[in-house]
Amino acid sequence: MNGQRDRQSNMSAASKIGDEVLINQCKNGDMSAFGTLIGRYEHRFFNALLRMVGNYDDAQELAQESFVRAMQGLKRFRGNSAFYTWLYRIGFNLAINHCRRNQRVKLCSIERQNGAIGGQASILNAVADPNAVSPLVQTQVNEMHERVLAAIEALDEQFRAVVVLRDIEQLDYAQIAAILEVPVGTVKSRLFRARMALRKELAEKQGSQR
Amino acid sequence: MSKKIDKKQRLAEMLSAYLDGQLTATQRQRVEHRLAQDAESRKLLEELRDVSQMVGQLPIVEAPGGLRDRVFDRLERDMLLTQNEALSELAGKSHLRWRRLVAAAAVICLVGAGAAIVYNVLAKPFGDKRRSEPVLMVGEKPAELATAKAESPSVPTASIKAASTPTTPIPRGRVAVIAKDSRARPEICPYGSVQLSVHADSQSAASDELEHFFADNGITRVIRYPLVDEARRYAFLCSPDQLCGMFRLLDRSGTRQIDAVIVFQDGNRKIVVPNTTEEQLLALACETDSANQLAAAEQYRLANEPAVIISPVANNELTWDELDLPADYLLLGRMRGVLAMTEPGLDNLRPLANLEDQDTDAKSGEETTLSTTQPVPGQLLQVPANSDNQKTTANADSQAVIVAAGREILSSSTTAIDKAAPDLVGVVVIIR
Repeated sequence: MNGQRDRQSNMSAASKIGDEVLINQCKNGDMSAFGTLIGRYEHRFFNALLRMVGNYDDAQELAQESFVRAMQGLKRFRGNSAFYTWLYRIGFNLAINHCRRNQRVKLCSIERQNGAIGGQASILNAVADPNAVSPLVQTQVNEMHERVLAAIEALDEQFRAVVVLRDIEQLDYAQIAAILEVPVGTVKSRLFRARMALRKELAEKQGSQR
Repeated sequence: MSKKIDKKQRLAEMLSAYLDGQLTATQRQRVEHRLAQDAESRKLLEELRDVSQMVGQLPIVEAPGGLRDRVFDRLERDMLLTQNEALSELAGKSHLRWRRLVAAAAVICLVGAGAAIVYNVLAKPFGDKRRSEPVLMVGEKPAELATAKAESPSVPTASIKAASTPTTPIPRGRVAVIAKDSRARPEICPYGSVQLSVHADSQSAASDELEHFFADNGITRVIRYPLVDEARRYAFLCSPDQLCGMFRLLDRSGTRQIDAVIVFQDGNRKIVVPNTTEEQLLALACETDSANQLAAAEQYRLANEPAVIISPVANNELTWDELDLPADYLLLGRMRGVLAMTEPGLDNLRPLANLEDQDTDAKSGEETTLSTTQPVPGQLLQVPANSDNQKTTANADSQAVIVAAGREILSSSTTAIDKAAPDLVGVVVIIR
């Protein structure tokens, strides 16, 4: 679906084994193994946190804090879930708390959106092809990105989290549920409501630009 | 009306999950059936897909460079701060003011250490042969650290006066702060703690074992010194039990020899106890009085020297098979330990007495049975503490064995351990 943007979120068996080996090495005091784990996840993890908090410096701070806590708590990590699930749980808990504390993002009441189904497809379909190279198209793409980012930031952090984990990280519902420690049904519900809110927000922004 | 909305929302939720491929086969069939019949549902599905794609097409922003280094810097800093918090709690001085004071001292020392490294690396690359090494500080009360800090030279060395020349006895086993002291040698461990010099066949294998030990015992506050003279150095706190566990681990991991090193209070002299036993190490680490610790170290040093049997004629080392005149060996002043009498075949080892007492005991004809262990040439034999009451008759035809371990030392050490085992002991391990 996303071509080159396929994040390969579902870890392959090989890399999962690799994580386990590295974690055992970490537990045995090999700090370089933890450095390898950081290198393996830092970019996608940072990107996910950035989309959660919407601020580069905050995301950097949260990523650093998450890795530190992961290392300090590695002894308690039993391997019941994948390392990245555990890391993301730490990171997203921090990010959600961060958002709540700072109220950096304007809250959007999703409850009001429940009945708004249908209507804005034509606007959404007007988005340009990201693979196009013309300056005009690129400008449109950039504008679209800004609108999407603004729409994401307008979401409540719980809804933002599922959108980021699903549509950016490409995790399945079970993985998202494990990270956010909620039932799969809640993930499904939140994701739908978040998408509906995004849809409405994007349609309004598109409409206001016309 | 409300039921209709709920049903519509459930359907919409199903569409979202259908989009993500997260439905069961039955649910998927139901949704596809609905899509085939309902144009509004198809439209909504497209809209949800568009939203999902737009979010998914946001550019990926890579993590800033140096994230890994910053993580490790934080881990190191946290380790030091946590270490000092633990100190405050252990010392029963958990008042916030002291915690802040100790934490501040640690940060100051850390800054000082960094500055010293920069100074040594950049400004003073040659010439000064004195090394500026981290020092394992001991102290029980934060107040001692604060006082010491106030007396210390200015940054960047940020040394603490008590590091190598404590003017008053410092309670043992409390790592308080890492300081830089140009006077301190890496081999010197402040008195009260115990230092192990491990002679390993494979330095890396022994280091790995030590790292395993840290991980298995949850010892996270470990100071790993930079390589000096190709020796790996570690400083940490552990319980007496853990110390014994570590000793056994190293002992089993192919090390040639483990020596305990006790440093005099002035830092200029030290006693090396070769081939330290686990019991001796534990006794040394748990001894709370410096005079007692040094005295015990000296005793162990004497006792642990190789059990060399010296020929009265040529002073050559003999094997067990060559021992046939025990009485002659008793007269050699260089022998220490227990004179043992054995039956032919060496299947019963029977000590008469310690060397100092052998004349008296031999004359009085008292006998003591030691054990039934088969001695091996060159093996160090230990005397059980409860062997005093067992007696046998010395036989002039028996073979003699010099056992290089004093039972009195062992028994008194055991008593000392029982009396005064501390919660934690400070340990420095040097793997060569």
